[in-house]
Amino acid sequence: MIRLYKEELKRIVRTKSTLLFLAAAVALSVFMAYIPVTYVRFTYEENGQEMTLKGRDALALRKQLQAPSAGEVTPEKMAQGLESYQKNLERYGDFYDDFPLSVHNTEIFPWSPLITRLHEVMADPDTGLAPDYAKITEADALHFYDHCRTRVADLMKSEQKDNPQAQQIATSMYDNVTMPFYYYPGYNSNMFEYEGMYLFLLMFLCIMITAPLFCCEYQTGADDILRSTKLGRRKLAFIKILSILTLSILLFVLCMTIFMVISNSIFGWECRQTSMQILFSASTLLGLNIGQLQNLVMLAGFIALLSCISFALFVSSASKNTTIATSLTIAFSLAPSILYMMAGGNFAAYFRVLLPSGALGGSNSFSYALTYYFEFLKIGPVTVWTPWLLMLVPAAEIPLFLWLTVRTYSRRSLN
Amino acid sequence: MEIILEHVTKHFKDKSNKNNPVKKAVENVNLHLTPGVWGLLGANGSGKTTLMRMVCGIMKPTSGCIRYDGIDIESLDEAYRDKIGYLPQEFGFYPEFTVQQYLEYISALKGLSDDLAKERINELLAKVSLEEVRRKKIIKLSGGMKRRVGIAQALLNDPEFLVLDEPTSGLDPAERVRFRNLLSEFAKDRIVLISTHIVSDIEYIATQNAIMKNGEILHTGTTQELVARIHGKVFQATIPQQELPMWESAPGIQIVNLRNEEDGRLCLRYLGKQADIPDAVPQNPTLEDLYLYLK
Ligand SMILES: Nc1ncnc2c1ncn2[C@@H]1O[C@H](COP(=O)(O)OP(=O)(O)OP(=O)(O)O)[C@@H](O)[C@H]1O
Ligand SMILES: [Mg+2]
Repeated sequence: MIRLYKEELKRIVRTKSTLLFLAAAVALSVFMAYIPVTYVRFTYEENGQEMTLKGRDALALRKQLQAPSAGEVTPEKMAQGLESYQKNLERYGDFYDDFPLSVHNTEIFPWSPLITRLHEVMADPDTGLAPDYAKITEADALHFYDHCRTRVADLMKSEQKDNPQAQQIATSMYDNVTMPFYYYPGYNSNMFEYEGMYLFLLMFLCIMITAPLFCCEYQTGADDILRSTKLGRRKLAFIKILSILTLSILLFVLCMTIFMVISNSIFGWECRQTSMQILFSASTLLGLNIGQLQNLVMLAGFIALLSCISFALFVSSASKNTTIATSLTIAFSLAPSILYMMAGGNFAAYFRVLLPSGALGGSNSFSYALTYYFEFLKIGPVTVWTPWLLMLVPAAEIPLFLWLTVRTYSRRSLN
Repeated sequence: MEIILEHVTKHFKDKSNKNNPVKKAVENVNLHLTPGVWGLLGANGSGKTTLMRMVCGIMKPTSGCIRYDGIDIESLDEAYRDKIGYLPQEFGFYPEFTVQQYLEYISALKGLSDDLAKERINELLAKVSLEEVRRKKIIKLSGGMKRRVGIAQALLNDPEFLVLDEPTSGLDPAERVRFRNLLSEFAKDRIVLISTHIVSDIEYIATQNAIMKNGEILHTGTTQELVARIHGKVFQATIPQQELPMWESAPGIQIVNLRNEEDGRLCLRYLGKQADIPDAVPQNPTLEDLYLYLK
């Protein structure tokens, strides 16, 4: 059995297309981790001229300018930032249009990550509209954290009107959020989109590697010999599954390590301590920092990936040829994204959590569900926060699909 | 050791044929296979491959059962497959594999240890004279060489029961001779089942023959026993060229071979009665004569 495992691994790796996809996965991990920084821009004034910095230089300057708001987010910092905002508002009017660039860069920009959050939590409980900056008081700034809690409660009342259970889950989740928050400048929340996108691409590559696994034997007729050998039935199915899982897990670990090392080295490892509530929205329900979030997104991606692979294995064991198996698996993997874009609504929400790839994609991705949306699904009498379902359901599907694969392969009698 | 087939039947659904949607590929086959080389003779489509796949447990019979030493092969499962070697009529190789890599892979599937596999592979590559191409990719080999790789993989686990579906197709005469020798050495205390429609291939090596037609086994027996059935029915005669159409259409005569003589006349070998053609001479019947006689 161990020999067969080694031989099967060798066989898979020897396949030209597999090598190609493996190489593509590694190359993409470097590429996807690197490009976000190339979009960073910063414009400043020098000798009356506007200059724009790009890439890592822009990032360095941004970090330097925002240094005053780095570290623990204290009410005092909030108040200091607010003061700087309001002082300049009086002098120049609306700071989006009328501020001189240099004033914006030195007085507003350093505090903006914090003040935006203060502004956000001061929203009117009924209309949801945020007030004018001028109307926020120093006392509001000093009570920032209390306002955060009220804001979440208000928000849930309006967003989950008919579902008191969801309101309650949200409030108790928010009670567990660690306060005070932390902020380290420089990190770009787009990074999660890139992480999500990369996981999505990795899923495709893994599907391309996995889908031929069983049906290529049917297609080439190699199957007849395999099936007449001692270990060629149930055990071969088992070994094939084990080999592809080994390979995918190794690939995942390698690629995600590359991705994380590159992206965090560029943006700064200290940014991993930034609280989600500052980077995304003060009302984000999870009490995690960016590092923990990166890991959680990775974990959800890992589960989704294994689930997709298991699904691909099952389709492969039941298909006549590689083309059918690959296209069918890809169609199913794209389904959540497409449904979400085209249909949206309740049906899409329920449907995608059932699919192995529900957590992978664009606007339906796990990190979106985690950070921007207050999505809850009602399953009978129980209400569950969607991101948990996006991890649990695909995880439960893994053993199911693998069992079906072994069964389909070993029972397949060639008629 | 014995393999017994009881009422083995295989029906396929034939969707293309509306009048007769069931294709009877193998029909009520009873066979008692004992050690020795068994030749399975039959025309194209007579059901040889289907029968062999059932015997190897790759395909389930529609009805009937196959027993190895009294036990149903389905319940023996792995233990049975451990004892067989199978060369399919057609099969695929992994395009990236060399001969050596392929044999290593199959030996792992057959549960051989590393050392044993190495030893067996070297031994078999020598026997099928493929040592020189062992590092070549299989898809780059000639048809006959591929066939020999197939024969080698079937022999890897030193099977007690060897099933070869048209093993000699594509082999050149020298390799055919080597193959026969390999088999007759191998077949002591083992069962070897070979299918072919090239009669001369098994005439010399098969100790027992089974003749298949339309899914049924018509006759079994040694070559002598089978040939005895047409004793006194095979003749040879020499005729003028222009008489050929006449004899071809004559009732009761089946021409099995034709040869041009130097003087422009034709030498006929035929099945029928001596009196049919003037000056006919009796011949020793061969399995090929029988085969054609039964067709
Ligand atoms: N999978 C299948 N589905 C339907 N019909 C089949 C299938 N396999 C074989 N048959 C039919 O069963 C019959 C027997 O086929 P089989 O391949 O066993 O013949 P064979 O004796 O091996 O012929 P050959 O000498 O050409 O190899 C044929 O009529 C064939 O068309
Ligand atoms: Mg055949």
